[in-house]
Amino acid sequence: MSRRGSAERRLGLLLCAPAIIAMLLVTAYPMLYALWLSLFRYDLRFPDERLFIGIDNYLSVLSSAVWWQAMFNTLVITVGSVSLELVLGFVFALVMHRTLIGRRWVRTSLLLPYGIITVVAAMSWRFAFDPTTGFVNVLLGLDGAWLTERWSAFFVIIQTEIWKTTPFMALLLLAGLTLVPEDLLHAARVDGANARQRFFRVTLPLMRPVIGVALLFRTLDAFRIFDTVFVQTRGAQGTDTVSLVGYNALITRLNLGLGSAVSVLIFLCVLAIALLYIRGFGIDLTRRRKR
Amino acid sequence: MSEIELRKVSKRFTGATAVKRANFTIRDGEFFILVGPSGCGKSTLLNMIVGLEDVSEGEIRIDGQRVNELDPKDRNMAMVFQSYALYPHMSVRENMAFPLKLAKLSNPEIDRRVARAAQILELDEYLDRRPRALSGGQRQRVAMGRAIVREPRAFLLDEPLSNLDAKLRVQMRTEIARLHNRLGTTTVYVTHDQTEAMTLGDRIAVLRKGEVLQIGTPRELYERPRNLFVAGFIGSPAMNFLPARRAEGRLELPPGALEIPAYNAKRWGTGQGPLIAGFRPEHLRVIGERDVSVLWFAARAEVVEWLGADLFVYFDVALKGFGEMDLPEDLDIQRGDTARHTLVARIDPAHAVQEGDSLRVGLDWRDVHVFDAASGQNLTLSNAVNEH
Amino acid sequence: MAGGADHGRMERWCWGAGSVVVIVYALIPVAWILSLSLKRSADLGDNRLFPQVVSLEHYAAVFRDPQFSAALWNSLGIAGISTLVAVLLGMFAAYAVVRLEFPGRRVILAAALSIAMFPPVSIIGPLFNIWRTVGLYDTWAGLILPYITFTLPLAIWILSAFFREIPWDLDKAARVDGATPLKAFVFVIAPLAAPAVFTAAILVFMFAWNDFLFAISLTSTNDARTVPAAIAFFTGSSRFQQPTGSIAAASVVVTLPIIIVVLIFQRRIVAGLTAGAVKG
Repeated sequence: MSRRGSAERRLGLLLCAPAIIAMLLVTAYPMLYALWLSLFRYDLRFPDERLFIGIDNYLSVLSSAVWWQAMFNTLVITVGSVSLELVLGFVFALVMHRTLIGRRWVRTSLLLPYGIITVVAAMSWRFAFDPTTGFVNVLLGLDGAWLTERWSAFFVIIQTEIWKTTPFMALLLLAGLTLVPEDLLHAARVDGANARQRFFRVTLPLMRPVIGVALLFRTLDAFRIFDTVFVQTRGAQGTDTVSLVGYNALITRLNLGLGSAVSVLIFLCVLAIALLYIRGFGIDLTRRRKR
Repeated sequence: MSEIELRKVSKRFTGATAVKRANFTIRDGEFFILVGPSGCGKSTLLNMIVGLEDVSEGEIRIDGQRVNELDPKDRNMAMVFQSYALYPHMSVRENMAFPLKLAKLSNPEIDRRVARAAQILELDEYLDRRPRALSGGQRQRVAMGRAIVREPRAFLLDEPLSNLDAKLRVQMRTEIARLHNRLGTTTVYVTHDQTEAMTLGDRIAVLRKGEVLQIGTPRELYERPRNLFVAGFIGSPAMNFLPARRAEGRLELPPGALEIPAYNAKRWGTGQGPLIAGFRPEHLRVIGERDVSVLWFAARAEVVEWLGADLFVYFDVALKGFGEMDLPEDLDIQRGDTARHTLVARIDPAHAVQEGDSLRVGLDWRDVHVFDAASGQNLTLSNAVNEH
Repeated sequence: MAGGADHGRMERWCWGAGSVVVIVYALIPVAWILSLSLKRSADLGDNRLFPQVVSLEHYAAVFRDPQFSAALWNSLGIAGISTLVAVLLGMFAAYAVVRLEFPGRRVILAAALSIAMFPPVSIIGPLFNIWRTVGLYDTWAGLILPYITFTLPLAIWILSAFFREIPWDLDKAARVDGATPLKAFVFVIAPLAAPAVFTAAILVFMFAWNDFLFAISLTSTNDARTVPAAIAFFTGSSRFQQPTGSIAAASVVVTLPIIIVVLIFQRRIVAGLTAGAVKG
């Protein structure tokens, strides 16, 4: 190894060290700590009763109806919002891609939902669906309290998620769309493909990696949903999500043992989702690009 | 002005050797070319000369002074990059003044030098533009300008023309040649294009896989290539190659045998290994006496390219009887008894040859280089007597 | 082609109409909360899109509320410091990843990636417990630390995607032109990297400004409670009567700066958001 080579290695490690340490310190260590805590009966309200109980916490979480309902809710919200976001995001992206005149305006207005704090967005839609302060009922000629019933509450929650994050999806997909070479679409046209065939046979397959990445991040994001549900229902009307269950156990009820078991389970779910996507879409996220 | 001396210079990266014991001297004021296919180590060599890469082994001397440990900024050399490397946030004037400011020259001196360089390169009108607003050729000129304002000891150019279109490339080529004539500064020029190398260089070093294969004037490289690679690399269209073997005073080629006069019997060496015969397109003739020194054979014109001043005729030769020889793979000669190989002849465009015509093609033994197929060495150079 | 022009015009109209729909959908809730914030308390339930009388009473109320001004100050300080540190550390790491040859290159990208996917809810318990013992609970530092961690992947990603686009030949050119490494950095590389750093800073700031989970888990008082947490807990006097007008006004106040930044730098933000995902 040359003089410059080893100096380069040292410098590289030195420059990365602070970032690596910061990242490990606040995630890896607490995660391991959570794993450790999850093996104890440990309630901060009764700190003296701390006791090693093995996997009992997991057993009680996995056998509780609350957990499974929250899991079901989370999946409903995740699947509902992500699938609609994908479709809607594609429509928005195509609109931005094809309109020449108002393109800037569309993009600008789409960035608004992205820029707004999630809590504010959730509030805003809560007010919008509220029977007294809202406009939705007036607009639709309805007279219901949306957030007081389970499925209509889900509708409001999912709709808020869609409104807030479709722009992100649309912008990603738009970037992917612009990467599809015009020449290829022209070639397909010359080869006799109609608009639909061009989209499904040429555009979509070429965008597969972008779609994969966008879906992966949105799915993980949606699975971790917390802010919107907290603001709009606080988990009432059977709209608890797994993050809310974890939060309530840990912070509201201060039951660190049980809550940590929930934390670990959520972590495992996220891991499984990520692996599923990476396998399914063949996303190679660490791919090293040519310099 | 300076002489650059490389003494057994090697460069090793982890697991690979990029340059192997390069050992030559670039003379004061010379226009010296490093040419070779991509990955041959030519740019690494240039980067070592300018100090952007460490020398793993050996020594680089400039005017007799060892510079291995000197930082690029202390070597006073100017470099033109393939990408031009113009600073996008500076105007043309600031780009050219940048090295002078770093050298802490006085402002009037900087202005004087920039103005002079701009005048030489006809950039006066563009001095206040950003590089983004310039055409490819103009950017190239700014890069040249940034190099010449410094009045450096040497110019190092790394593929400076490869981002230009064909016409501009030719134009800039003559401009660079003129600039060199005018300034007389030692210049090292890296390219993969043999035409650029031949037209610009006082001397050329041909590199392959980190090794300097031959150094010489363009004429030496063209007429006396030391090995197969140089023979095939220099010249366009490239030299024709055919498998060959020795047999009692004759050289057998797929289309027939060439008689060698007794006085020159050892011209093609004496070993028994497989050979490669090489001859340039212009040495294939279509008229001439039926001299014993010429092998005539029948051919059918497959493709004819008429370029005005030149006429290229492509035709196939059956490799029957030679298809099983062990030949270097990079020559692209097919194997097997039914294999054919395409040759090209450059002939007088006055001939009205058309595709499909039958021709008689002649090859004089004096024009044939014979290479050892295993080592690639040109046997003709060491053994021939009485050239032409 | 007969009818081709007509067809083209139809198509353009369709896409144009589509744009309008998209714009309206994106803007309506924003417009609604703006309108609510400007209504008089008595008109909050009138279901009108435009306030009958424009009133600033809620804004006045919000700024009188010490809880809100404290939260605003906390948010600004915490997000600002987190941004500064995360971008600085991210810059170091991204430079190393893009420019240097060393064994940890892939490790840092992989680490950044896993943290980008990491569920924050999984560590709030341990952090809550640890912060209480070491005295970081309900302090600025207690929020800044997790924010740095969770924004570092974003920063490293955006910065390394942008840094790859910088023509690094310029660094060499500057060195040959007679610059020391430091001068080459100051005069050539820094001016070119600045826009990327700025973009990363905006997005990191938005993340920290937006966070809710850490904010409500690791704080309890005005000492470190940030705006999202404050808005969510703006429960007026009773649990059942929410101060809708105040919440609306507070929302507008904290949304406005972000919107302005987003509008001014939209090009950069879009580039930053898509850099990592599209270019890999």
